Amino acid sequence: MKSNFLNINKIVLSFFVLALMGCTNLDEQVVDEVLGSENLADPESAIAAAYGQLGDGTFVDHGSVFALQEYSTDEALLATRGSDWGDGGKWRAMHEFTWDASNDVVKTTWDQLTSGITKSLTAIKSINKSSVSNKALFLAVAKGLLAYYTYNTLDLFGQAPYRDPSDLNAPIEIRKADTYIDALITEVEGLIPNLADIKTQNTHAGRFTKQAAYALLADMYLNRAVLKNKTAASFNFTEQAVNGGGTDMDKVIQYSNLLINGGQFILESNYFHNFDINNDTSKEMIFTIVQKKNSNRNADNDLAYMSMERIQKPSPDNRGTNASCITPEFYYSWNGNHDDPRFQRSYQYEDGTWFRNDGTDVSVPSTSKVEGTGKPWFHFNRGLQVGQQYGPKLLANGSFDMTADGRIKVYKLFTEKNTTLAADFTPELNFDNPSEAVFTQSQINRGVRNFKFEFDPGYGNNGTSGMDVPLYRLGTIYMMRAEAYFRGGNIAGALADINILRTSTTRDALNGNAPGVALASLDANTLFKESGYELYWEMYRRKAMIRFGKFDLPGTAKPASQPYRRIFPIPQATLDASNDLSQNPGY
Amino acid sequence: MYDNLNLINGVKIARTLNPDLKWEVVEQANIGADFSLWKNRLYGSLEYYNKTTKDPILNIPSRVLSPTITVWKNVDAQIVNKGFEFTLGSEIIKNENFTWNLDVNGATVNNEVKNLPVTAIYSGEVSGPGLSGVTANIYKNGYEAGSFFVLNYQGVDANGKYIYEDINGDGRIDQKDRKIFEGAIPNFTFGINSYMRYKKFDFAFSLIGQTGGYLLNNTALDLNINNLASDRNVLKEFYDSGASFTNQPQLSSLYLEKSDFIRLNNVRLGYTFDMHQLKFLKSINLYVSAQNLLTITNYSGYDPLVDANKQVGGNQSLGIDYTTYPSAKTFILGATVKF
Repeated sequence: MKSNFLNINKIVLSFFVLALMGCTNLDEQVVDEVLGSENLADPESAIAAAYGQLGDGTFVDHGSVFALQEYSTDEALLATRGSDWGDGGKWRAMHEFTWDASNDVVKTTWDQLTSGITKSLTAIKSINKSSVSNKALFLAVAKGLLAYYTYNTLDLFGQAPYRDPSDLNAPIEIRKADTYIDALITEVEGLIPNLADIKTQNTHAGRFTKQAAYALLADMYLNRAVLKNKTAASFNFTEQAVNGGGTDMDKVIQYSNLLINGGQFILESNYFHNFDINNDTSKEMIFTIVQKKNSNRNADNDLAYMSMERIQKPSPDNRGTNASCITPEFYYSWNGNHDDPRFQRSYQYEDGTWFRNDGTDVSVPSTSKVEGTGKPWFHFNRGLQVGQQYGPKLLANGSFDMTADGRIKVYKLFTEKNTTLAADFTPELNFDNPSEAVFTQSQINRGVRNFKFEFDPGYGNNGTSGMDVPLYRLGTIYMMRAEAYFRGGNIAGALADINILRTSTTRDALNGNAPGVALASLDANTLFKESGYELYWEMYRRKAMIRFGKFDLPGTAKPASQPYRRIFPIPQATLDASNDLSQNPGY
Repeated sequence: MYDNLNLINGVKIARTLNPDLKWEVVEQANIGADFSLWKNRLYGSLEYYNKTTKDPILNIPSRVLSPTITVWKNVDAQIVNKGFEFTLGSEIIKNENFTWNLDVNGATVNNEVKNLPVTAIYSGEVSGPGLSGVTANIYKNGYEAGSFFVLNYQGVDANGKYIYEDINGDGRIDQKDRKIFEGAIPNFTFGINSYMRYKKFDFAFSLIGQTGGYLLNNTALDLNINNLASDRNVLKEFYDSGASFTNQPQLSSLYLEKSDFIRLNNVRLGYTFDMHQLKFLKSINLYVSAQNLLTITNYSGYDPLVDANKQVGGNQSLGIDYTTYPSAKTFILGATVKF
C-alpha cells in the first residue's frame, strides 16, 4: 500500500530567498530650512542668544552650575525627601561625592556651558562677517561671554572646547585649564579697551562691560593657582602674574580696586535687597543675569523655590517644593553671628505688622497683592529659616483663611506631604544611614532652609522670577580683595575689607536697624567663614573650599574625597560622540 | 543689544544639521517551505527569517560644539530580528452537515542591537514623584532593543527595607547597580483560529497569545509602598510584602512583570436563514460576535499588550505601562444579507 505521507508528489514545496533593499538614492532638495549657520541672523540676535544661554538653566536653575558649585559643598544639599527628590540618586550623588560620567546633573551642566561656548562662537562669527556700527564693541562682548563660559567650564571640568569661529570646518581644539588659563587672562585683558563702561552706551549690569571684565579677571587671578594644578596638595597664590605687574594676588587687588574705587557701585545697607525681585535697583550689581517675569524670556525662580516647604504658600496659587537645605556645618559656622544682618531679616507689612515666624503672629494684612493675579501675597522672612515655621492656611476653596476683617490668618505649619509632621526646620539632619542623604517621609521637615532669594509669586507661577541673578556684585569683589590681601600677607587690609562688609549692612527695624559688628582679628578659618556669610548660595563656595583646602574633608553625608573630585568628569555621552575629548583622571 | 532693557530676540540654531541623513535600510532574508497533505486536510508553512535594520535613525549625542546636544543620525548599527514562523492548518472535518477548520500560527523573535557606536541610549522615562529623569529602557550592544535597565529587587529585609543586588559590590546601592533585564519584545507569539459550521449554524473563534516578554508596570510603581507615608493608596500586594512605608520610590525589577497571556480575541456565532423563496434575496445570516472577550494572564495591569509612549528625545520606549485605559471589550449583533 502506498503511503500518502511519503508521496512527495502531493507535497508542494516552495523555496525562496528574498532580499529587500530600501531605496537610498532619494535626493532631497531642501526648500524650507537653512542648513548650518551660514545665513544666521544679524549680530545682535546672535549676541542675544549667547547672553540668553546664561539664563537658560545654566546659571539660574538649581540643577546646573549651581548644583556643581553648591551641592558639592557644605552650603547646600538636596537630599531625597521621602517620596521626592530620589530621581535615580542624581541629586544625592552631588553631595555624597559619588557622581560619575553618567550623572545627569553633570551632563546637563556640561551641555549648557558648552552651548554657551557654541553660541558665543556663532556670535563672534556673525559679527565678524557684518559691518555693524558697534563692531568692535560687539566683538569684545561676544569674546567676553566666550571667556566667561570658558572659564566656568575650565573651573568645573578642567577642559573646554573651542573652534576657530571663522572656519566652519576648523578642527575642535580642547583647551586645558592648566595650560590655557594664562592665555584666557591675556585675552580678557585685551578686550577691555573695546568694552563699554557700565551704564554708558545703554549698558547695564546685564551686559558684559569693562566692569564685568574686571570682576572676571579678579576671579580668574584668585583661582589661577588652582586652575594651574587642580589636584595639588597646596597652591602657590603669590606666583608672578601673567604679564608681570606683581603677583596673582596683586592683580586681584588691582582689578578689585577699579570696581571698589570706581564710584559706580555702593554696598547695600539691606543685604537682602541684592536678592529681591526688584534687585535691578541694587547699587552692587556688576554682572547679572537679567530676569523678567515675561513669557518671552527665560527666567527661573529655583534659588527661592527649592528651599521652601510645599506648605509655605506665598500666595494661594504658589508653594515651595521642599527640596534643598544647608548642612549643620554651615549652620553652626554662624554661631555667635546670628545678629549679623546677613543671617536673617524679618518682613514688615505696610501697616507696620511684622511677620515674626515665632508663634506669636496672629494675622498679617492682605493688602499686598500678587502681580498678575491680584491675590493676597504672604511675605515670608528672608535669610536662613530655622525651627518651627508659621504661615497662611489654604482652604479647600483655594483661598487663604482670613480673619473677619480681611487679614491673612497665621497658623503653625505642618509639612504638606506628611500632614502630622510639624514643619520644623531642624539644623541637624541625622540621616538614618550617615553616608546617605536620604530622609524618610517622617523626616521631610529637616534641614535649615535658605530664603536669601525672594520668592517671586507673580502670575501664580512658581517657576519664573523677575529677580536678576547676580554673578558678580560689589560684595563679591570685597570678599575677593580681602582674600587677596590675606594671601599676600596684608592681614590688616583683609580685616578692613571683611569689616566693611560686616558693618555696612544693617538689620531690620524690628532689631533697631543695628549694623553688623566688626571683627578684631582674622585668621584663615574666619576668613573662610566670612566668605560663606557674604556669598552663600552664590555659586562661589566650591571654589572657596578648594582654595582653603576644605573641599576634600568629610562632612554630613560626604566622605573624605580624593583630589580628583575637585573637577567633574566629562559626560560619557560627550565622550561617545566626540573623540576630541579625553576623560579627566580618576573617572 | 545696547538698548537698555528692551527685549532683543535671540536667534539660535534649533537643530544640528545632518545633510547625510538617509533612509534606514532593511535587509530581510526568508527561507521557507509550504506544504499540503491528505487533500488539504493538513497544510502549512515553515519559514526562517532574518530581518536586519541597518543605519537606523536615532537621536544620539552630538559632537561637542554642535548647535544642539543631540543629532538625528543614521547610526552605524544594526537591529537584528530573526526567528521562525510557522502556520499549521487543517480541515479536520468536512461533510455536508458539519465543517471544522482549525489553524495555528506562531513566530519566535530574537532581537538584538549590534555595533551601536555609543555606550548606550536610554529611553522610557518613567513617571512619578521622586523619579524625574529616571529611565527604564536601554539600547545597548548585545542586548534586545529596549531592554529594561533597573535595580535588581531581591525582597525586603527584617525591617521591611528593600534589598537590591549590589552589582558592583561597593557596599552601596545606586545607579551603578542597575542590571539589564529582558525587554518587552516577546520571544514567541501565537494565534489559533477555528471555524465550525453545523447545518445552518456557524461558530468561529480566534485566540492570540505571547510568551517571553516583560512589561514595566509604572502604574504599580506609582502605587508603591511609600504612598502610605502621605496617606495615599497603595497596592495590597506591596502592603502584604512587609515592605516599610519609609522606603523610597525606586525603579527596580519589583515592577517588572511577565506579559505572557492568551486572549480570546474574537468569537462569533451565526445562523443563516435561506431566503430562496424571495427572488431578490438569497440569504440572511444573523450573528452575535464579541472581541477581546477574555484574557488569561498573570500580568497585574489592565492589558498585557500595552505600550505607553515614554520616549526620550524621539528614541522609542518599549513596554512601559502607565495609567493606560483598559482595552475595550466589543459586542456586535449583526446581520449579513446576500442578494
